[in-house]
Amino acid sequence: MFDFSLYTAGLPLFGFSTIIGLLGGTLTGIVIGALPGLSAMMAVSILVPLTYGMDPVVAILMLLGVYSGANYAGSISATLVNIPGTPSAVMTTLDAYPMAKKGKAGLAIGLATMSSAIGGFFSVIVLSMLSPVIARFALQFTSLEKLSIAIFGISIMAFISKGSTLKGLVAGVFGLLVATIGFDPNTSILRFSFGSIYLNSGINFTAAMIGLFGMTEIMLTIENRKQKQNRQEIQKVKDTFACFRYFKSVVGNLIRSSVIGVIVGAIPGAGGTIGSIISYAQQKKISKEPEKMGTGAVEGIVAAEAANNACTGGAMTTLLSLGIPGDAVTGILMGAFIIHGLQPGPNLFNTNFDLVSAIFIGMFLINILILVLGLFGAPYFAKLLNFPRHFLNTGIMVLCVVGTFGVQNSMFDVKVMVVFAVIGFIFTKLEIPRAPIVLALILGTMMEENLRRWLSLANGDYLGYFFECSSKTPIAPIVLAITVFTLISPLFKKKPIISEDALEEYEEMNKEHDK
Amino acid sequence: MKKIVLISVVLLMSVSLMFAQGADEKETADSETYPSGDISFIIPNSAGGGNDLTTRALIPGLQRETGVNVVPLNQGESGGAIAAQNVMNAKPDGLTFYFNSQTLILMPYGGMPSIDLTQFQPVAQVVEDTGVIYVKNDSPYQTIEDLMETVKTETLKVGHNGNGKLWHLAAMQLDNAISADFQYVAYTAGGSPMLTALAAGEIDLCIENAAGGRSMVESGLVRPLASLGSNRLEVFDVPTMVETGVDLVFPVWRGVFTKAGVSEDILNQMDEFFGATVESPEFVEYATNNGLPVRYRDHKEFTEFVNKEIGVYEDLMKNL
Amino acid sequence: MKNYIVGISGLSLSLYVYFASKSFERVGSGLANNPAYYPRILAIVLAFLSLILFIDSLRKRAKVSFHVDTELMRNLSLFLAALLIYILLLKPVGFVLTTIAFIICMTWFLGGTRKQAVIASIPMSLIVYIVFSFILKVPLPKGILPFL
Repeated sequence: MFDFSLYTAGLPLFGFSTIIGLLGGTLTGIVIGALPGLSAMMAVSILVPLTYGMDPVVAILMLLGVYSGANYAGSISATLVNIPGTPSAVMTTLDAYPMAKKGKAGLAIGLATMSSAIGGFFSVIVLSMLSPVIARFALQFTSLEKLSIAIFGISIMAFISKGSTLKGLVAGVFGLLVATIGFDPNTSILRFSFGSIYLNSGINFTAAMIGLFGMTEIMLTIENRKQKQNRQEIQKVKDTFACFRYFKSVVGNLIRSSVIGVIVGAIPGAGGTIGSIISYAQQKKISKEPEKMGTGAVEGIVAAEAANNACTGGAMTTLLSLGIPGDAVTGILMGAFIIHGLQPGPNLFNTNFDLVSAIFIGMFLINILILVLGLFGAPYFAKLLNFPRHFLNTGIMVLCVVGTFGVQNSMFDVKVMVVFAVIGFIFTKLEIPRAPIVLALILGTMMEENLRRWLSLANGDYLGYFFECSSKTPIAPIVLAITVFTLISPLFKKKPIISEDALEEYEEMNKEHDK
Repeated sequence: MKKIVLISVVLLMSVSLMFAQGADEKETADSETYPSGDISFIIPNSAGGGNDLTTRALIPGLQRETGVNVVPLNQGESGGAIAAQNVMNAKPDGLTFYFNSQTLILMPYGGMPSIDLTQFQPVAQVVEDTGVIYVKNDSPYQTIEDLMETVKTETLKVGHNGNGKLWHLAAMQLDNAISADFQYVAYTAGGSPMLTALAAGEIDLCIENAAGGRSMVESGLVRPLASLGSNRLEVFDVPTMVETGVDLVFPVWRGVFTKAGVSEDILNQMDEFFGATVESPEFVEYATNNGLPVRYRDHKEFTEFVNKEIGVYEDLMKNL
Repeated sequence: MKNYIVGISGLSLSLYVYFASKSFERVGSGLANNPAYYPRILAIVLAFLSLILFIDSLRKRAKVSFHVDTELMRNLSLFLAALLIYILLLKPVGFVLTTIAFIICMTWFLGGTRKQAVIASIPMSLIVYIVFSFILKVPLPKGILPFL
């Protein structure tokens, strides 16, 4: 009576190359994530070009491995040198670093590994159960629903990104404007192409993203080139398996944090950072010893890391079932899907049933890999923190250039990449977040296309057609109402959606990080 | 200071190397020695798409026939405009091949007036596909006749893949042939989003090829009504428009072009190469697996066919 | 100060978009067929946001002092110049040679010793070339070296 084919159809795809891709991806993700300053976003964006020549299944699974691996491994440098390896590990530093200072670095990393893997497992289960259901429902979505979800995604992204909401929105609108370059979707008229044939079909998304998240990061390191890297004494990591002794006492915490992570991850625009902040704050509220959190408490690490990695499954649920990226990294993943000729969205369950199934199985395996690689490999990953940065940065620069060139053998794209690196640098200096631009570039085309299509379907009678559509399913007006509410809510009450002390803590962390 | 010196040394070095390079130009081709070097095969799409896969499936056979390397070059930027321009700027030595469908002859109308079709010499047609009219599974139109009856009194919404693009023109031809009065709705990404919208009931019908709609038909979301080919399809048991008494055939062809100006002798040699490649078992197997109906035309037939198509589209575009 | 810059630039961008979109050709009638419609909505939203930022920065009387770190600016321009030269020479000279030169410059520039830079450059560029050209099948420019 229950159809298991969705969970088994992908099995035949797991040949030798798929397993190697999965392993290689996860390992690469962990290595990049463990290095401070290289985020999951950067990892995925510079590795997308490496997958062009690959089989789509191998490519997608490899990138998913990078995504989950990097998301997890941020905790390694968070523990050892108090710098989150990826932004989403920021809450992990609060407890993992103090614990490491007490000489229990192994335990801290072990706990982070265990919680990440369990959070990840949980999210994959949710992904595989919910996404087919949501997809079947989403097949009924028309242009109006898609338009409203796109608007919602961009507003949320701008709203919760680091820094002020206003500047987040400015970044979002900037990205939307960039997305209008090239042919107009309805009339095929050229817009803002400045007479250049190279801009006919707009800015290449991959080039822009590699510029914004690969090259910009390198440019930012030039600034403190003069400051000698203060070689911190890095602790030996041992006894990572000690974490299982605490398993029983944190089961409740794990489940709660995973649920929070999945829900936050599924909201378009919100990602691991927000997930772990909310989960950490929640844990502090219900903790028996809240005063201990922040001084090396087990529950703090568990709450932050479980939620952080549970976001991956949540974000993938939105991507696969609605065709809308759940966060900026899944936005980049969506670009990778499209490069391989796959259109994420409810129809993927019909057209590429086995791929979807392989994604479920693959993400499950990735979390096993994280558990195994993390527990056994942590002592070695810790040594990576001593790797000379100038080699690494030079290598990344070459990869950025070659990777961008490889997208479509285009030198023009490489120039676009450099332009976006400069834009990213200037934006960072002006404290404008970069992530909304990426999301806006992906969602921008979708937004305009659906808006214009809806207008042409309405054929002049806009209000009437809006009511006609809304009477069939009330989704669009509801989503639009929520968007408006979120955007204007800060005007009426002081309290943001994330509790204030959590935000304060987050900001303090950022300040320390910036120092 | 040292850095500036270092960088400028590298710069100087590289510039001098660059000038050293430009000396040896290739001779223009003559048929005795053809092919005199590696062949570039320009693909106007990114790696992984349909055109890319088809071109790459042709390459092993071509290498065997010509005895030289055939290098695939993906140039998908700007919707294929750059690739087309590179062909126009190539030497007429027969060492540049270019794979495309009628997308090529639509380019001058689609915002790329700089594409000069006389610069392209048709070499070989490889595939001839066609469009299929799809409706939603629970749509009231059971047969194509039902649909043709309805359009007499109602305005139906038809989906297409962008103004002046392939399926838009197919829909326009259908519109003319059955004297309907369609309302056109653009789905720029074509394929999957368009068929999904059809299944969601946003539009009443759309035209897509058989391979693109197959999985949606199998999962019971949409239904094929008729095909626009000259013969019945293998995958769907639906009539052609000609069978229903409507004079409408819409071939979707894909083939190989080269820069115009290549001598007749070389073109005849190319006919041999492509004839053998297209009919080779490996290519036929690829085509069957991917639902591509193979149809080979040599350069003479293909040139004649392309010229006829250019005329057809010229007339259509006047009514756009 | 920062908001001041963001406000001014945002306003100018939105003005540009608004007026540049005037020249778009129109095919047919109705909002759906107006290519300028959507960019203009964005321009208006951007202008609104920038105006708030601008007024806010004036209200707070942020000190309008412009401090430029000359050291940083020099480093940045060197960095960008090297990157641009690398990109421009990549196609004519070829990937391997330019990349070797680029890696030497950059490793040194980013704080490595000269010895490290030279030793790292050749294997690094060869590995990238081999991985892309042969394993990933992305042909990189050969340039003047016919055998690579």
